[in-house]
Amino acid sequence: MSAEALRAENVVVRFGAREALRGPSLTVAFGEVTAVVGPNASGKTTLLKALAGIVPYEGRVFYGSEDAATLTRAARARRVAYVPQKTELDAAQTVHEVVMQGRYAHHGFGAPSRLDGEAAERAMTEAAVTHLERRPFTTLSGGEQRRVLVARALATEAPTILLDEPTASLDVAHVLGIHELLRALAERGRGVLVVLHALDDARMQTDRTLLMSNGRIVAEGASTAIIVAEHVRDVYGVELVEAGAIGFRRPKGAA
Amino acid sequence: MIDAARIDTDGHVGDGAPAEGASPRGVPFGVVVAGLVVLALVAIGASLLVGRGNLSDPSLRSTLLALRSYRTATAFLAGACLATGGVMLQGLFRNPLADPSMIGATSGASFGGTAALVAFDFLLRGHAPRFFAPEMVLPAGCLLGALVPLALLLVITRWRSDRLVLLLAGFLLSSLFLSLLAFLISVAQESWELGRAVVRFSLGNVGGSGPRQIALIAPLAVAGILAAFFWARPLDVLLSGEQEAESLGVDTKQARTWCIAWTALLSAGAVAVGGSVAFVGLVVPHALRPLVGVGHRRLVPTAALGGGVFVVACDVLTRVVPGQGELPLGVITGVIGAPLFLFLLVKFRKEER
Repeated sequence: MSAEALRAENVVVRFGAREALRGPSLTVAFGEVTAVVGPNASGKTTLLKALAGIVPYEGRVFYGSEDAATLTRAARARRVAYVPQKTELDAAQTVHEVVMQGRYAHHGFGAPSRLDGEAAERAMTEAAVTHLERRPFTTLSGGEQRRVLVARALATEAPTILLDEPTASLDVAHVLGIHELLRALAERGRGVLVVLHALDDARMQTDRTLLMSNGRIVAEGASTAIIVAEHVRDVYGVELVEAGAIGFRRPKGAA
Repeated sequence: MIDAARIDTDGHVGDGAPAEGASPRGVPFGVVVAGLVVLALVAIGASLLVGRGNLSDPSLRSTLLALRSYRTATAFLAGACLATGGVMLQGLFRNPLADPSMIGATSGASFGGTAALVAFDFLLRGHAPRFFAPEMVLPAGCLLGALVPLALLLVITRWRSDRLVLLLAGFLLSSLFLSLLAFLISVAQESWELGRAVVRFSLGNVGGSGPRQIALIAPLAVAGILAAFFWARPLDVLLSGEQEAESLGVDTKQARTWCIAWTALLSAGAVAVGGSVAFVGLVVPHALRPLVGVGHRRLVPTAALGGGVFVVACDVLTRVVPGQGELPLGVITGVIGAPLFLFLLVKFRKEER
């Protein structure tokens, strides 16, 4: 088990009278890809937002040994990066400008330094979007936009990254690309927490899985031990058909 | 490297800090600024040369030029204030329809100015203390009037934070003060002179400007434009929405409070010296975005310049359009601004597809 990137204790989030999160506790380790799965409305997105500190929550969230509640917004952004499922960005900013947003927590009101520019370049290289640098964000395909949002998160240089359904509505090759990217991030020592809908991807591509239902984490452990018939039946009410599964990988010799 | 195959062969890594706010049309930023400066010089020149009174008469020349330069400076600064306010609000609300009039400050200032005129007429005429400059009654009323909707809106901001509530609250405050203003205008009609003064103010004009008006608006304009420039980077990040901006380290509540407050002050200052001048805050940023991009560090100074040019040019038109006396400034900005805005809207939407 690697060092602890993020720990949450009894996190409760209320929207009016409704409890969207009912006190889950969890840890995310550096060097691992941790999946969050669960049916629609089980609280996955809310959990990510609470961990990123962008919705008010009760309970405690630690980034390493620091209590998130004691940190400024910019300090939080430098410790945990968040990739939304869908961005609200609809202005014609260039890809470079969008990625540079990730450096705001470093330069604030001041001008970006050379270091900020270099961090953005590295992030674009890591997410393979450097060739899109000068394109307006709004003209990109869904898959390209997703990678640019990942690049923006990487530009924060936060050691932990939270991603909300980064593979939603992507074709199989792009899905594979995202998983390879997450694996590479973990291998370079980052803590990765990713919300996924595809259970086969969670089982094949991630190290640990947190299974959510109704605002709680009902099972957690090694992904291969969590995505099993019993849990799937309990939480989703469907049967897991092992024989019907198909998987994908890049042809041998491809990068 | 992951997915390296998808990087174009000509994909290059920049020099560390490529230009921000690349123009969608590839017009270099310097060219846009130079163009605006030329337009500003032309508009200012025209404003000094055009109007009633003969400049070739040596006994009138210096007086005419002095009066026209006050007027030109006031028009320029009022336009700069309104356009800068428009940039801040459109960025903050991520809404291209946002305009300083939508947060109630413009109508609050109009109401305050009119209330001050009416109160001065009824209560103080002939009894005003000697240190009191009568022509500053109206601007003082405008500034105080704008503070009321601003305070209400900031209280609402603390209480409910979503954008829609804020926009609707601004709209409602605006309507409320417009109704109160209508009431005052009806009261003011009791006296011919007061009625004329109120109507003249509510239609917008910079004709009677002097050094006092400039002393009021110039520091406000400079401070407001600097403030907008200061908030440019958080506003850039806010283009991604409030939650994403928060996750990237922006204190969105603070940004909202300050940008609304500065916009209210800028628009109150513009109303105080120029009356109700429509469409500047809406049209000018829209016209500039295709040329300088959406980045606020470029949008703020160019909009300030462009707003100044637009209002000075409109003020020149109030003097050259034939008719009895001068046309109200607010009529010209609206008559030019509305079709221009429609044109930009249709052109852009078409190009985006």
